[in-house]
Amino acid sequence: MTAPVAVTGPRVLLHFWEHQFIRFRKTFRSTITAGLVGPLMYLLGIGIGLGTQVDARAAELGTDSYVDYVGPGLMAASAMQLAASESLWQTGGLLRWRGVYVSITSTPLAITQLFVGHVAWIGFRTFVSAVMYLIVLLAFGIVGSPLALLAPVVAALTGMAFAAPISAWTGWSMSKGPGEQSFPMILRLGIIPLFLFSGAFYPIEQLPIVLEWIARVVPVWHGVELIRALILGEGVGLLAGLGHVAVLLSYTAAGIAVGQRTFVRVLGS
Amino acid sequence: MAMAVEARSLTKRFGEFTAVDGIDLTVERGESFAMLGPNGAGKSSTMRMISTVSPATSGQLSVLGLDPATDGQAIRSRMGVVAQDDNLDDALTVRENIMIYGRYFGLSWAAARSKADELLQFAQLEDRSGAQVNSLSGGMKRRLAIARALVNDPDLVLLDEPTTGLDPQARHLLWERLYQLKERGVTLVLTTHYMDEAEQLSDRLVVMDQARIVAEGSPSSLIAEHVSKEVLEIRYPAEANVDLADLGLRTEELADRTLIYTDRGEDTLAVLVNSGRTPSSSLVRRASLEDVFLALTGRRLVE
Amino acid sequence: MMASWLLVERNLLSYRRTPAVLLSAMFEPFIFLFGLGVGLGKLIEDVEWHGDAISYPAFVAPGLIAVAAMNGALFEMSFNFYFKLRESKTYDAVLATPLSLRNVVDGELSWAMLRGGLYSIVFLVALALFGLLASWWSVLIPFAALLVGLGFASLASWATTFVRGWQDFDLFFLATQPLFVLSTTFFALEVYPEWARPIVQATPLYHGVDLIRDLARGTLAWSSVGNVAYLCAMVAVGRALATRRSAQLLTT
Repeated sequence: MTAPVAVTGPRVLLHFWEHQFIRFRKTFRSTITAGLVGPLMYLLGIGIGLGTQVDARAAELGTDSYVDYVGPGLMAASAMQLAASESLWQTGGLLRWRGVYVSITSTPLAITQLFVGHVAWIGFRTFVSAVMYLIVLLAFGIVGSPLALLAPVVAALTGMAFAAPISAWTGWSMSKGPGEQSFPMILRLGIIPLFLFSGAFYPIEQLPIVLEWIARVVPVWHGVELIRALILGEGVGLLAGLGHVAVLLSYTAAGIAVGQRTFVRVLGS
Repeated sequence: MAMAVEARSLTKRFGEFTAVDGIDLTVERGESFAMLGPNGAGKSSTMRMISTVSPATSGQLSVLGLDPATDGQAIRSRMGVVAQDDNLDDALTVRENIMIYGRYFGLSWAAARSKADELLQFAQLEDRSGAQVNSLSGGMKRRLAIARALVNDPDLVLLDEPTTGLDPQARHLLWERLYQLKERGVTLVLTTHYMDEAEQLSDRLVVMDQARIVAEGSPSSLIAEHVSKEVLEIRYPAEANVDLADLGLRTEELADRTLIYTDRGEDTLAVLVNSGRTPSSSLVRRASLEDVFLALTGRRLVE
Repeated sequence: MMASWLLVERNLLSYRRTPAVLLSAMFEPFIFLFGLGVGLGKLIEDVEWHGDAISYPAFVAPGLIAVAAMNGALFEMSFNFYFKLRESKTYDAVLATPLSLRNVVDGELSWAMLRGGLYSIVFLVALALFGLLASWWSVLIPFAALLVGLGFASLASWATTFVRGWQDFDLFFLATQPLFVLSTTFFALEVYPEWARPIVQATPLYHGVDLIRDLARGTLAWSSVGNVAYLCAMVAVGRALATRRSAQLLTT
């Protein structure tokens, strides 16, 4: 028998990921298909089906057809949806009902590291789903540039920009707040509207001015714009591109800072 | 008046597996009756058949003089059931749990409310009346489950392992409440794998093992019939090879100690000491139902 | 009948402290109406329905009534039904009372139907105020919505008896998501190529959407009788299957 070695630094995070990966492997197929079917259905139903009614005016959107407009945008909007539901139900379960994270606190992994690993893990999950979805877009002939290869990375960033703050909420909610009763409401009244107002389906300029500004402030629209530019090869100004990335990263960083505290509160006491 | 429970050749099979194998049992009105046995002996399956949710595969069963197969509803309206895992409704408060249950038994809201208050007092839960079920301790949950089962003033109460998983203090409080019920003339049928519980609560019991009844009687008569008054438990160092055959007493070799069944434990110990076979440790105790079970099956109740 | 109502009472009681969970779903059809109907409406010219040109919101709105009825019923008969069936063992406790298994199933179906119905009716009233309804036949829409809710509740409860763990609900919603997006809620059947139309017409939500849109526009036809018959059959079959499966799980 080999004696356990004291594990420190980034190595512990690696083990945390191994743990997550083993859990993920068991439900891999249903989770992946579920993550893929959602955007695919919107692509078919709204992009192509409803697109028949919109195509005549697709030029106003700056694309050849409506599906070209919707297809790339959906990658970011779906990344947000996946990350949000993972950050609520899945995270709540890990924290509370299944106690998985509670048991991790008795390992060398610090709770603050655990939170970073947790957010990165959800980023990885969204990345995997985005890669699969990109293959679908390729099959539909919607990809117009090799820069599209960067799109799943942006999807992961978009996912993390939601995963970090929402997981922070879940941590707070499970210790001091209203608990899982808030989850369906956040999804229904927060995430679904953001999904529809994200700029994936039509330019946010068509929204009433208040909603338009909400859309600009919330990270999903930045993901939508950047991913659409990358996939269609429209080219996006370097400055604008960096701006979008900066918004996504700042949400992630702010969420991590808060989330580390709420996780310490729920797991450390 | 009909017997509370009467079973003849009662059998329950799940596919190839026989959970209850042709048992006969009778529970009289006002009696407190226990089924003692290890996990998987068939106690819970028998309880489920009595509670009318599980149809018997063969044999006869009558509960409060009625047939569970056809009169399930009439039987249930006069019976209270406390399931092993409580089955409390955790979307409701403590008091609401009793109230909505009262509604299921046909009480009006007003009657359900006053009944709930009465039962909360009986279960010593008045101060938790508005609490969520999840905030209760294990013992409180079990008391609530019992209070809920009494909402229809049942003639017969079934309790499946009422104190499994509870700490000693919670167990004693529960036993006290169940004893009060018995005093009121309620018929109790309970399952347990704790011999002390069966001794404390039952007038009469059956010992079950591997889907069958292996013994029946009152706790004291079973002990008198199957084992001696006392048990001498002794330990020798692992390498010692001590022969006890000359004592002429029944002995039982366990992994960590030896049991000697004797009517006078101290005398038997003296015999061992005088003949140079002093054990490294020894204990004389009263014989229990655990010993009955061991004598009958060669195995212990709680592994 | 009365006995089944007791289950509805239990559910009402359980939501008394958390009405927000129940009521927040009420906003869902509004969000879709504004998010897609109005937002996209700016890009979509009038849509044709039975020879009339109608605005896109007026086309989508009746479809969303059917979706609301479906979603309300699905939410209740998926997670909540599963939790009560398997995790909290609520029904085991109910079956120790004079209530029968049939009472339990019928009670839960009624509750799910009422929940879906509540969402549809609130939305319907709003549509009337927005002037998006074109016919007095609309007064029958609540009944159609209850039928849609009951139909989905019946089938969903049967499906939920097969669920082995929370993860399986991914697959459950894998089946319902396409219904939402593809069942002519957002565009007419004629958009599909000829060969695909019978497939769409075989799915349950299509019948709810078609029936309610015909009521809202006053364009009832023989096909509406077919819609009603399909939904009734769905209720009968789903309820029978769900009762049988629940009996296998709860009373063995």
